[in-house]
Amino acid sequence: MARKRTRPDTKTEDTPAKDTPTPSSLAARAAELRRLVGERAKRDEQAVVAQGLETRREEVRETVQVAAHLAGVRELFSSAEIGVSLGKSALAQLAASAAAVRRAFLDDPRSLAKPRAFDRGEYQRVLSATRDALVSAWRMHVAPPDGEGLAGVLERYEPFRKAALGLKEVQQALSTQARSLPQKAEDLKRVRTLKERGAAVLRGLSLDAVLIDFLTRAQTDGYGLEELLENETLVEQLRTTGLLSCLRIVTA
Amino acid sequence: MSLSQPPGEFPCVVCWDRASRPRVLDTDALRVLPEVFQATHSPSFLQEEGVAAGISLRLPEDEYVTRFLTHDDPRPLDLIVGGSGTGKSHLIRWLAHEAQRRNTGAGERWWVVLVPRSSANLAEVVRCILRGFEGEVVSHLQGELDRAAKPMSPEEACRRVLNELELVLRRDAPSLPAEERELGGLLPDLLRDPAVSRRLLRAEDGILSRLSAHFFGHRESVAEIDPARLRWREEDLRLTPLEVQRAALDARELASQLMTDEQEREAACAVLNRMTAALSGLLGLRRGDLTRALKEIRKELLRRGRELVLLLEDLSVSQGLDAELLEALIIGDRDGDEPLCRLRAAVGLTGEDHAKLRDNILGRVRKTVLCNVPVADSDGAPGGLSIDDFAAFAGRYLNAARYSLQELQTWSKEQEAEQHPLPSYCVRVRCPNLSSCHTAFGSVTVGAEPYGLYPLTPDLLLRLYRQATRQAPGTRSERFLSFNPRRLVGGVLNEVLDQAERTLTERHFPPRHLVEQFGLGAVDIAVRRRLEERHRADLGGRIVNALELYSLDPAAGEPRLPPGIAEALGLPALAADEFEAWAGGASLAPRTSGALRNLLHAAVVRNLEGKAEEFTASSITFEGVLEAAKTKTVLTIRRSAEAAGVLRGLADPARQTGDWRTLAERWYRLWADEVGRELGGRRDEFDRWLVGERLPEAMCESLRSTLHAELGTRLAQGERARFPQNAVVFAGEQSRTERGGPVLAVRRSASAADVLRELSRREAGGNETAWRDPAQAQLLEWASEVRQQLHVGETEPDLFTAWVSGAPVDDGTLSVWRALVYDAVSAAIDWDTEPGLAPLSGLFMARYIHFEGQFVRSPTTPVELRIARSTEAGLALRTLQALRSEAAPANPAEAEEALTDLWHWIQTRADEVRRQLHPFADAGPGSVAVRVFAARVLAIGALLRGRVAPQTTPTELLAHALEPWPPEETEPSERSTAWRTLWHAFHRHAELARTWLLSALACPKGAETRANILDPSSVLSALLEVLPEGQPPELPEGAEQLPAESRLKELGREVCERLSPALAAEQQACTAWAARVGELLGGERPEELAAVLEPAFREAAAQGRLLGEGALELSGVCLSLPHRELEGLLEAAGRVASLEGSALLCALGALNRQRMQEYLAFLEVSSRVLDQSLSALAEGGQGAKDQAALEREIATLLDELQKHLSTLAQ
Repeated sequence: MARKRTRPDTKTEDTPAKDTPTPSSLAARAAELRRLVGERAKRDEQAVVAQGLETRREEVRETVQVAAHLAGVRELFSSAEIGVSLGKSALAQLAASAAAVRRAFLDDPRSLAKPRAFDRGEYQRVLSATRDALVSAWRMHVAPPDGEGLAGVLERYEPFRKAALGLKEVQQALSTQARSLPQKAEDLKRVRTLKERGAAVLRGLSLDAVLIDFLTRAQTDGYGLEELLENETLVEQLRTTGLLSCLRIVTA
Repeated sequence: MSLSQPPGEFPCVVCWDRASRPRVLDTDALRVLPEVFQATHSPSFLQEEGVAAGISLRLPEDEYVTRFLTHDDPRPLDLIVGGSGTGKSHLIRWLAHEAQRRNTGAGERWWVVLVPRSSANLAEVVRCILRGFEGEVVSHLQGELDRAAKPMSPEEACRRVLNELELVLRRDAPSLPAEERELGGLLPDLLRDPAVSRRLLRAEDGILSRLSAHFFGHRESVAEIDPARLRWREEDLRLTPLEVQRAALDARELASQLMTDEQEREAACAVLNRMTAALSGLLGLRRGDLTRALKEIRKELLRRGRELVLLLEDLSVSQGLDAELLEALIIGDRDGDEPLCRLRAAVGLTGEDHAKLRDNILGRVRKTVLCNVPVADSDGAPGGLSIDDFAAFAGRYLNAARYSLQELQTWSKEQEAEQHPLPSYCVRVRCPNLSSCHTAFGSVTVGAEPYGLYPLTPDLLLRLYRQATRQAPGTRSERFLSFNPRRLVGGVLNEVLDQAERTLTERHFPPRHLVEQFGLGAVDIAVRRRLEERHRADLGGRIVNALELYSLDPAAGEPRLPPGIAEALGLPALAADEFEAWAGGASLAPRTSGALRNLLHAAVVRNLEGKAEEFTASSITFEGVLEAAKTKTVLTIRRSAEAAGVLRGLADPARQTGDWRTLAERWYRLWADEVGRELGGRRDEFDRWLVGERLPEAMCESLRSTLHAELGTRLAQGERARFPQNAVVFAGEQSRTERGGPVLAVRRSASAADVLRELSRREAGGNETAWRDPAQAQLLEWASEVRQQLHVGETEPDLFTAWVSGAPVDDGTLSVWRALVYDAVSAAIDWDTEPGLAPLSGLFMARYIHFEGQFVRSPTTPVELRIARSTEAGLALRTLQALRSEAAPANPAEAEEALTDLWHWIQTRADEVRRQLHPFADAGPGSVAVRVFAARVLAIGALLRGRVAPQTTPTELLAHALEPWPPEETEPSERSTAWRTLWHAFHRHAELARTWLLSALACPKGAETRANILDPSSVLSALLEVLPEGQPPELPEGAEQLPAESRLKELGREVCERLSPALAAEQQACTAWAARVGELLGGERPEELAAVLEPAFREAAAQGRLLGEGALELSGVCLSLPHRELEGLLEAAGRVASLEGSALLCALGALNRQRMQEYLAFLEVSSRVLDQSLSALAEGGQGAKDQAALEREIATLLDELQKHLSTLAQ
């Protein structure tokens, strides 16, 4: 058995050598290390749960923001009587799932600390489909029936060129509106105004369908002279609208 | 002519003129004095080419001279071809001399022009030719020469040569051969370039200096006319980078090539040498001037009715004009339609120059005379010079050297009309030594007089000449294959006489220097030692030297001096006793002769058949023993080895063995016969011959033939073929000058007379009976003598003698000798018991034994044995070799003596090895201080490694110290720098030091210590305290001598320097560690603290709350640490502060510093991690948000959601 070594410089009666290591001694530091390591182990475990919850919180927060937006659009559409078809069952399941998560969380908050405790992907997939449906409905609502095509035909004919420009401006403004879902009621009102302005321009031209057909075919495939001559109304319309001067007969 | 006084009597006489000798024998002088030339002239040894290629025929000089002066051949030119020193100049001078001498008798027929090689310069050569004429062309030339010969400085002379050379190059380069033309065109600019010309002009003894001396200077020695000196050599054009850099643009390219390309330099030299041959313009001459002058001279001589004899000693003296001169010398007797006088020209030139002569010259040559005559027996060439030719040639010089120059001059003047040889000095002065001198040293007969050869002999002459012209080993040159008179006279005669002059009167002749100078040294070292022992060392040395020079067979086991040599040189006879000395020519002591006379008389009387009253003891005389008041001599006992043997036995009865008695009886009968004939009046020619008369000439011829035939039966077939009949010479017979090879000198003796008498009887038709014993013995002795002469020089000295005499020894032999000496010297040292030597045996190795004469690199070992050349060393090596080969000793007594000498010699060498080892023994294993030092150092190592407990005993400590230092052990990185440095020192050196200490403490056996049975007694007590007084051990005295292989010096030095800092650093580190750990523990025990820390770290880590480097491992480390052990470590570390010395080292070494460091690091990291983690926890401590509000908010939201959904679903 090894003999205890004396410490001539520190040994006094008031400071017993045995079992009283100096604070800076190796033994004391080792004990301190051991204690701190234990503590730090516990703290690390808690931190891991908090970290998980923070992550989940961000995921839920993101999902909530998307859902809130879509729900707002849905309510605008409803107020403007814009019809839309959503996957209601999927949304209902998702709502049930969210309720289950909430319940489990309330029972044991650590349940949501695990990495896949909130299936964020599923929520995103369903909400994305919902959004697509809303966008589709919105575009259907905003876009005019003739769209840009009539304005393009008319601007080739001198008598309609001014009207065609006005029509085109309306169409471009509507296209801008159609790119994003409406955020508030003013967005709906602006669309309605634009639509009315376009209709007013067309009405001022007094164009019927035969004439519009003639103008369109004359610009693309050509309109047969024989067929034109057979339709006197059309010829008359051409004359009255002053279109004849800007038409030319070419061989096929 | 009046003559100086005769020389004194032998011994040690200088019988030549000390003043004239250097002049007579001077071969370096350019001008030989006429009297010397005349006195020393020998007929030149000439050869002429035969018809068939490669055949050379002997050409008698006189015959050639006569033919040269009288021939009618239209071709006027003779070429005398020979190498330097072969005598071509001498022959041409002799031609001039003879032409002048014969002129009187021939009506002044010849106008003789001799152009000597002593001509001062080229202008002098031309003047020589023109001298005595005054024609138009000649006068013009003389005027030009005078103008050209204006005094000028050496530099101006060089510059003139350079300018002329440049001029000739510019003029003649277009006519050079195609391959040289381009180079020839570039050279003028190079020579003109200031940088290049400065080099050429300033070079000391450079080519320009040599050429200018040739044209304008003054020659003084033979060496200066060496043709090679007048040629451009490759090194003359070896330019330096600086010279090339400084060269002008138009010369730089060639200069650069010459600097780097040796072949280019040689090519340039060839061009320049070709141009140098045409520098006659330097003398103001134009091409063709010389030819025209010679024609003018010849026309004038024709008018006078004379012939022109033009003799040019050496063609090289005419370099620059030689081409034109040769052209002029081949012009016949007509110049177009104009007749010219007859021209007889002879030109000396070297073989090299001869080979370069153009065909148009060679086609006009009447005769080519060769002076390159081979020396007999040197290559077996027929017609070569014999030993007698040598003697005759040298005899003339030796005879001339005995006269003063004045005497020679006087004699020369008397010789104008007729040519007689110089009289023999020996005869003219009535030299008192003539007889004995000529007998001992030999003589040659010139005219009718004998020229003595003293102090040389014919054999010695030939031997020294061969040595003087011997080629160095490994070289091959034809330089001295031919007889070279200059070498014989200057290199042999002059050298020997010069040294004899200085040493004879001091009785130091022959000096060792002379022997060594000629590379002799064949006398066996055993003989030398014996002679040096028998006589004084210096006298013995002189005898050896004399044997080297004069003995016919110096390498023989018992070499002998020819009779008379020892007496002439004042040397003792080489005889073992006075009888042998008497046989060799000495006298007998009066007492000995008196005593012997009576005994001999009695013995002879017994063999006499008739009365012998007249034969008394006093009528017996001994040859060479002078006796006064002598009665009539009846019997003369003549010198011979056998007679000496008989006398020896008579004088000492103890020697009268059976063999002696047989010998004695034989001789008694011979002497009795002689007495009987003398007393009976029956004396014949042989008896008279015995007393000094000559044998009749006809009888000599007859006996010569029969004796030769008789001896031939006793010789081997090969020996017989080399022993000609005329080699037999009887005492008193006229000198036979034509002899050569072996000579059997039949000396007067009873046995010789007996043989001759028997031969004579047989010649007269008597029946052939068996030879009597004395005659048979005599015949065998003669055969032996002939055989000995035939085999002279065949006996080579053995390797040991050759080495002692200075000869090189091959590496293989040296290796064997080294092994022999090493084994013997090693065995002579008792490595086991001689203090301190056992571990040093490795320092003495065979390869560190050096023999004088071998190449030795700078010493690589402190112990080496150098064996100087000495007789003792040679004998010792020979004995060692004999012992190794286990050859049975021929003579047990000699073998015993040789072993004794060997023992002393080896002991001396062993002492030398001991002397060299001694410092190492004192500073090595034998030294207790060094052992203790080593043990302490290694013990420190053991403590350092923590292997030792505090209570360890010295024995255990030593055991730990001697444990190997594991090489794989890694560095203790946790320790202090000083400690680690010390650790590295042990890591490097400890193993060698340990090995050394093991060896030092080991008990040796047979100079081996590998058994590792240790005797640690000398070091154990020292290990009681490894660090006395806390200090590391200091290096012992004489540390420089510590054995290098032990690394003790290095290790000890490191320990001394590093240990204290290491201990201090470690002690400080441990104290600091203890303090810091204590502080971190905060009063807790390690185990208790661990119990707190571990769960804290574990739990915090699990929660991710433990922060900081190393935080995650803390829990595991804490579990793995031996906390209970740490308690002890803390205690030990705390204790070191109060320790010191060995205890401190022991405690520090034992501390687990690695564990300490680990624990401290653990605590430090724990503290830091705790601080960081706590701080982080404190920062993250804010409270949680309000969860209730959140829950409420969520509930509301859910409520709204449900409502909106319901709205949509409606």
